Amino acid sequence: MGSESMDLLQGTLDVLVLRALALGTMHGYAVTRWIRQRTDGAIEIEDAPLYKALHRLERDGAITAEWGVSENNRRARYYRLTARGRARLKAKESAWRRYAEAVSKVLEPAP
Amino acid sequence: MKRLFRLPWRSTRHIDADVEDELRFHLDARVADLVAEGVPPQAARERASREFGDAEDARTYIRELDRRAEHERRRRETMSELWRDLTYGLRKMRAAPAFTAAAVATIALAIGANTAVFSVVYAALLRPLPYRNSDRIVAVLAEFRGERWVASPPDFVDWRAQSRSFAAMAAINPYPHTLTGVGDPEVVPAASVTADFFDVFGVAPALGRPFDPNELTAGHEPTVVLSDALWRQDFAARRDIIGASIQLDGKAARVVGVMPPGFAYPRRARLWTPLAFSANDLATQRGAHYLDVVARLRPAVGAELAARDMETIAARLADTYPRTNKGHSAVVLALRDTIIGATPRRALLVLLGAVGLVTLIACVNVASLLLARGTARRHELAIRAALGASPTGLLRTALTESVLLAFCGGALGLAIGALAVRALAVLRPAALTDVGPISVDGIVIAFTFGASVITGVAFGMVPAVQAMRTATMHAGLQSTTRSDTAGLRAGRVRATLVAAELALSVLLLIGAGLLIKSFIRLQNVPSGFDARGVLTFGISLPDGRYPKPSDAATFYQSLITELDSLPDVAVAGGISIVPLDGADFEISVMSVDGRTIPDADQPSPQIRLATPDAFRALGIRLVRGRGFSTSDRSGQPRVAIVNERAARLLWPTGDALGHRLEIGTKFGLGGERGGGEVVGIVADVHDQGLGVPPEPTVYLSHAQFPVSDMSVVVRARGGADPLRLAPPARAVVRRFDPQLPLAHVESMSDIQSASVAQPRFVTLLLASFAFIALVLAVVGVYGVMTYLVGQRTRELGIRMALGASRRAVVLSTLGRVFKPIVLGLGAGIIAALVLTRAMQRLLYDVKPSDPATLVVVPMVLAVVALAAAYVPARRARNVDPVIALRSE
Repeated sequence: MGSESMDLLQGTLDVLVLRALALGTMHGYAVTRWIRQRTDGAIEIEDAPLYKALHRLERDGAITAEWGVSENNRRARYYRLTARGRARLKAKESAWRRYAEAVSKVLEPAP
Repeated sequence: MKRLFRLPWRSTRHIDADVEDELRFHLDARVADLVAEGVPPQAARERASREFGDAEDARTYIRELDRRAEHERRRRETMSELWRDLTYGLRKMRAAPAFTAAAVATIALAIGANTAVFSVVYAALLRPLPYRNSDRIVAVLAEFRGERWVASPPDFVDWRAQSRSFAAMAAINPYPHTLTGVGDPEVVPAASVTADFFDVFGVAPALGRPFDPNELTAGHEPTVVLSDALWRQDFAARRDIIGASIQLDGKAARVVGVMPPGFAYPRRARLWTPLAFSANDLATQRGAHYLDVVARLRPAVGAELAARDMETIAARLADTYPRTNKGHSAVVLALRDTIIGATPRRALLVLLGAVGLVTLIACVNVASLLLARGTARRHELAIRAALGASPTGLLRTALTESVLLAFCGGALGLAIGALAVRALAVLRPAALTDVGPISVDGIVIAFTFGASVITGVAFGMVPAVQAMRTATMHAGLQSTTRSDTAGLRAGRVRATLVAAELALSVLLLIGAGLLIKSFIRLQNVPSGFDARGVLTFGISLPDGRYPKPSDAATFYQSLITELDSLPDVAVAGGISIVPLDGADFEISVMSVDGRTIPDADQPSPQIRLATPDAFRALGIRLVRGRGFSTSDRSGQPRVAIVNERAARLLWPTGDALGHRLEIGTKFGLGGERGGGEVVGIVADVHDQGLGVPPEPTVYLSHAQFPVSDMSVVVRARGGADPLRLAPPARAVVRRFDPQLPLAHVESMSDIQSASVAQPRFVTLLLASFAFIALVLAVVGVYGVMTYLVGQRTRELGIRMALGASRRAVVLSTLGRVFKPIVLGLGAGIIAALVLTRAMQRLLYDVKPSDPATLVVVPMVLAVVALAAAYVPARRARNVDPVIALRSE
């Protein structure tokens, strides 16, 4: 896998994680569940890279983490979007849309 | 995002456990969900794990990421706290400009003094000499009856041949040469050196080559190696100088090399010529000690081993040549120790100690200032403590403030130090000029920087700890009354500081007092000659143009007659070595009144050759008999004049006049031994230094024993400025021989003054430090007294309301500082009794425990301290009881 496609993949994961957290504070497991449901199994995403993305985004200050208590009374790490994370999500979202449009234009049948 | 409170820092272990927890939570939650959906537990676990992917990779990645992030967070927080403390400190400094100015000025004085002294000490004692592996270079000297002697040529040759400890050994005969043919004739400091000289120093010529073995044999065509300075100054740095001839002492010498810049050994040497010994020299000169010997230790050979090696060789030579070498040993010294003598070294160490004391006093002063402010800020600190600042946090904040002050003081001090170093350059005694330039360079700046930090922590510690203790006691919140116990304790601490300050000051002042007394005594030593109004200069007749000894006799006789007739000259004469020149010339007396003295018992007086009017020109008093006359010349009966010491030494029981003596050297005409009938006795002269007892001296008539190198002494008529005689004297010499340079044109007063340059240097510096100490101590006492009076306003008010007289109030206030003053002075005197012993070597005719100094200095300081206390104490009498009682 070349580094560019790696970047693309990482960027994709980041945007998915940020999007999930835009819904509100949640722990890692909830993030992975949400993404799995939204993609509907269309893309096979493992959990490990998602956790890596969570910690990477935390380091970058896009999200913050705090320990809290889960629904079933267990200690869980909760993530929350920061202002910087929100801004990044916005930027990535529009970039993704432009990209997707460009790709689908190419793929459209010739008139 | 900004947090109000800092999150606790997470340890690595902590981070790893958290990562583990998070991942386990995920898997457990997934398994629980799957089981709820009806998947069997075993299959659920497998599926959860499969869905998760590479858990190990994720774990490693996340751990590493979180550890780095944590590290980064710590760094950022530390920096921001430091920044906060810094800006806090700066704000505090700006808020109290008077305090800041006083503290910074005090520190600047101390740091400036430190910088100046350290730059001298560094140049003289610490900086490596500018030679390759200079710590491997040693000097080898002969030792006889506890005195160090330079070597004789045969001894040197045997040392070099027999020693096993040295990679190279060389002999040096320092001897100035006359350089002609480039501008005015010039006397150039120079040295003749043997083969391995440049190897010993590990420095090769930058241009050309060192001497080759042929050039180092007697009778070879003369060659010369130039210093970089001479090459640039006189030969315009011409590269084609190699192979060219220059005129040295009236003879041609071929230039073979030019040394790199900065090489000037022995001191200030500007050219080097080969030194060769003829078979005759080696056969006859075993008793003639005139060679400096330097050597480079063989790798892995220590100075100890080399010293034992040399002792063995010297003992062997003493057995083989008992007549000349009996009782002789040899010593090996680090080269630096021969450049900087024991006395200047001690002087520098004493100065370093003194400047350390000044720094301590400054620290005490600033600590006392900070303490006064600390008391005022107790309230603020208590609030910060109550809001959650940790004790160490408060300590750090307080220390940051003091270190900040110290840095400001240090920066100003560096500037003061740099100026002081320039001023010192003027005073710098000769013994220190040989160590190269003294400047404020990187090392000195680093030292200043370090000294500032230490100073800041030192003076900040007491008030910071005090503040921390007070703040954590929460006392500050409860009460703002100024007469509570914390205030009293602060008062006690300040009284202790005053005692310490006075102890340090009295120690410095006693040291300075001793040196000043010693210096005054030294200045008032009757030198035995009259330096006022006397001009002197050296003349060296080149062998080439004045081959016969009688040439020298004739030349000087006619030159002095001519100088005598100059209108402004009272009297002119010539002498081989002028007093206080630093040179000595000792020769043993072989026989007295025809009786030969056994070798071991032969005394060695100083020998001087003089013209008839030399005594009158130098103002040396004739005690009995007559001086030399023009009839004491070649062919006439040989005569001698002795000083009183020599008379007592040689004829202890009777009158020296009319007796005869012979010395162990032949001079000039007819090859006769020096000596003759004693026709006169002159007063003793402090010839080797004002602080050195006069040595027995024998004067011989130059006309009977002519030498080519003489110093001319000319006394100005009516005590006029002798330097005004220089141009006419130069003109006369030029008329006799236009190729002849005048060396060392100086007034005798300048020579005398230069001879005490080193004690003057030390005395002046120590006196300055003592003065700074005195001022700081006065400020300190004044400050504490002001503080005490302010503290006791209320109490004094009550007393006065109860009928105490104003006088009683003032006295009782003064009483509060009386104890610290007495205790401080007492401690200082005791410290002085112990420490001034280190100054023994620097004192002339004054004991370190000089009772007068030990009594007078503390008394003066006591009076000054009480006066400083009295001014604020007087304010106590103006306290209005009514206002004082109402004020709180």
